[in-house]
Amino acid sequence: MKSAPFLELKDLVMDIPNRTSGSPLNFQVHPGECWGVLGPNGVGKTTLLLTLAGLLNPRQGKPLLKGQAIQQWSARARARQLAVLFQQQQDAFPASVLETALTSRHPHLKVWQRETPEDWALARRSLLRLELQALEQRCVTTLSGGERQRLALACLLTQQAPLWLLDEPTNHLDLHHQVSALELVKQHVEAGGASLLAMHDVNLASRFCTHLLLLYPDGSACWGQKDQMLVLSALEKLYQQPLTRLEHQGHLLFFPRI
Amino acid sequence: MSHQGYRLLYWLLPLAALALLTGLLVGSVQISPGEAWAVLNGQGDPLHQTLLLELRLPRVLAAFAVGGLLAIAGALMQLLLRNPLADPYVLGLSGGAATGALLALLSGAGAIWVSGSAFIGALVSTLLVFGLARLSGNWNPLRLLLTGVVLASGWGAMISFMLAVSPSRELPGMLYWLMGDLAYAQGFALPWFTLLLVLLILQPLGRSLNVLSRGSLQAASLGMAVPRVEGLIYLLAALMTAVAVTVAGSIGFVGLLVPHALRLLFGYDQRLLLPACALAGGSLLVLADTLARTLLAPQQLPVGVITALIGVPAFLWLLSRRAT
Repeated sequence: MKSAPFLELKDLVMDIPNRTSGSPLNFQVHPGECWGVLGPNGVGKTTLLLTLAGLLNPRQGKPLLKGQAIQQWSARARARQLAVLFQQQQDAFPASVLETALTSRHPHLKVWQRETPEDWALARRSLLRLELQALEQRCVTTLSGGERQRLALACLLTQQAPLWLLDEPTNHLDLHHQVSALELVKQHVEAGGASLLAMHDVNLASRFCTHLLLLYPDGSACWGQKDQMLVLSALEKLYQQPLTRLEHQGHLLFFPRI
Repeated sequence: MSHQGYRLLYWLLPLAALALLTGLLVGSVQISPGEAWAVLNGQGDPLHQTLLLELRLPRVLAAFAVGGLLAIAGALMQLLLRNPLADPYVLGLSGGAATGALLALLSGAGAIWVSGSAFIGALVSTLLVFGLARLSGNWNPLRLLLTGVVLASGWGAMISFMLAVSPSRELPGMLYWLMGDLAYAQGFALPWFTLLLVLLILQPLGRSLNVLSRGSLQAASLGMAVPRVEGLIYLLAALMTAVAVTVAGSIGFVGLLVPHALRLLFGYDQRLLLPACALAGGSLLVLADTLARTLLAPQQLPVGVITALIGVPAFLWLLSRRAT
């Protein structure tokens, strides 16, 4: 028997301005599953993640986190279950890399409580995992785009939530760090966590995800196990772009046909 | 890192004490530490007694509290608007206060009325900005900033209008008020009470304020009640600014310069930054006011002129340093 789902979407319709129709989403995300969300620009991948995180209200239906409607969770308890990696990092102020990672301990501390030595150690371990230990005292505003993205991943790790929602986790990263970022997600999932990733790279998604959700420009959607979703005609319809399908060492690869 | 920060904070304490002492002893009449000690023991020159206890002590204490209030209010506004260039007046609060004060001056009301109507003006301005930014349903830093800036220029027009129609004998008093002046500071109890109250409220919230610097969405996803905390920050900053402006007029640059300079020293942790702002802002204004009293003694300058004269080059220097 399957374990209880972390996340359950019940007749969920996202609230996207100027879109009248939209097929309701109905699926469950279980521990050990990694869901890739694919779709063209502006189709609502970010909106979906924000809705699932409880930061936006859906037009219809609701997401359930561990069986309870997301809006009924207290914000702090929710943040201990669910961590979000945003597409853009905001930092108008010159905080240090370590200070920034430490802020992710917020849901685990009472409002007036200071960070304990364990919190510091945890933040340092996360930075080490993302190869940022040498930049610990650097000011975040001086980091490169890729370093900032790795810091955001280190923050995610520091938050220690079992469910991760990631909006384009490979943004700004070079090829090596793209792979290691997704290895990090894979490890998290294999250790009993679950993830949902909005992505643009079909090939990386097919290598690292267990399930895929395709969001079509007309508001319809389909979802399922990765192998059932990686169909040439479906992907061509998804991106409105002719594609080439290759098989290499047992893996499917898709490229735009130019 | 953090221990180092606290050591720096302790260094600010003797600095503040030194500033207060300088403010007490230096002026158009110099008082030596020995003479001041005699006054404290109930002896000494009666002139020194009047100068120290009745004139300088209340003024120096008021200056310290006002400086601390402005610096913290500036740091909070910068945090709220996610803009390091914000200052306590950026949302038009000083304009509202000035309009209230000038109206009272124009109608020939006494000093208490001037203070009272300045406070009411500041409050009206605060509620207008808050209400207008909230009304749109979509509360974000940019909208708040634009609402404040537009309202501030509205107040500016009102002030110019009143200056234009005022009888010329009222003008010096009005100008002094607009530039910020501690000569008419009415009591130091209110600003001190506000300063201590705000520090007491903010100290346990320091870590949450650090989280807010990562943006409202990220803070919300980390489990913070963002609208509630932002509302609290705004109201506290507005209250502090209103009290400061009521006591001393619109003194510029303290709220912009002090948080900036301290961030270079202390980094970004609000738990260190806010108490440091109180100590450094207070010291700066006491010293500036001492200069304002002594530079052209016996004539007194409005302290706002001094803070601007120090503030402009200091700020430009900080900016050029940051670029390298």
